[in-house]
Amino acid sequence: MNDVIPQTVANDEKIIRGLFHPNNFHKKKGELLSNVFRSPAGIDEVSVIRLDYTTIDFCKFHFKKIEKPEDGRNYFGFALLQTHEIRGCNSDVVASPLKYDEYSLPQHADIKYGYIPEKNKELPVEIRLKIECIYQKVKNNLFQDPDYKNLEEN
Amino acid sequence: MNPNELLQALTDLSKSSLRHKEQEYAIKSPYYCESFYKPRATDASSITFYTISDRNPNFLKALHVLAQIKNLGANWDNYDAIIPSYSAIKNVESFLKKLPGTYLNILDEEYIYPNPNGTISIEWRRNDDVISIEFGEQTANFFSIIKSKISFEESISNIDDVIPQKILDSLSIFSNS
Repeated sequence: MNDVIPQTVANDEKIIRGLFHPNNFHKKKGELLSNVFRSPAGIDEVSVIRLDYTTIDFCKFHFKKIEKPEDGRNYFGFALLQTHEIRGCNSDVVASPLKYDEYSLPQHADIKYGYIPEKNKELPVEIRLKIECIYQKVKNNLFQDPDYKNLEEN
Repeated sequence: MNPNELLQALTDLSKSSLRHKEQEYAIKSPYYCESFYKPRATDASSITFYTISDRNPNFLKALHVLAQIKNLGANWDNYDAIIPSYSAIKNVESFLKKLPGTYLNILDEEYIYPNPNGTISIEWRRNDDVISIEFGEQTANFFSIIKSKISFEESISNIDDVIPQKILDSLSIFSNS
């Protein structure tokens, strides 16, 4: 499959970010928080999947694999964006195929802001504004998985 | 016991009962939160005492959220987040103690949240308008976008001491818009 997936992410490609409840959500409003588009310390990578080269079912399989219900983190669904929307916020999307023990994820990509966050230090405002720009575009473009059950409600 | 003595005894009893009720309220209050009574660290220097004036319901709700954030482990977002910084949490608490009640009253505590690199954000949001403050271990910064107008300030080093005028101005515009 790797052979047929171009290493350049086209501007019209659909990109999805898996969402996990509850720590990226405003629980009462069910609204997404902008921390979902932030990179961990030490790397400039916000993990996404290129939807044009896979299916929602496969993405769900992957997200269910990495969820941690035993720690109270459940797969909720995903946020959908187009690559040009991310690039329109002075950020980029680059292909970054992954290989796990059981399966590979050649459709994997990363949003990059051009800045590596430091541990326990606030991001520069310039980077925070890029994230806010993406957040404003995606906040109403969330898709809840039909099988999602809120652990707190249950 | 003459009537005056009886009246005095009843008054004293009533005052004592009220004091007891007040203590009971403090313990059973819906705004009770762990950090309020049991600071995480055990050394005496780290214990924070709050006064009656700190009992703004939104302040207490915010403390409750911060207590939950304190309890998060690594990878709380499933994308390799680190444990939130204890110093950043304390900086948020100090900031909230300095924040005028008018702005505390319009704070939604669920817009206090951790970031994957250990910092803490506080936001005020309404439609596309936002005021966002990010607290690190040493410093903080802020930006606001209100009616498409951007204001910001980088590397604020004493935010727990003095709230920058730009933040207060943005909060004033936000609360009046």
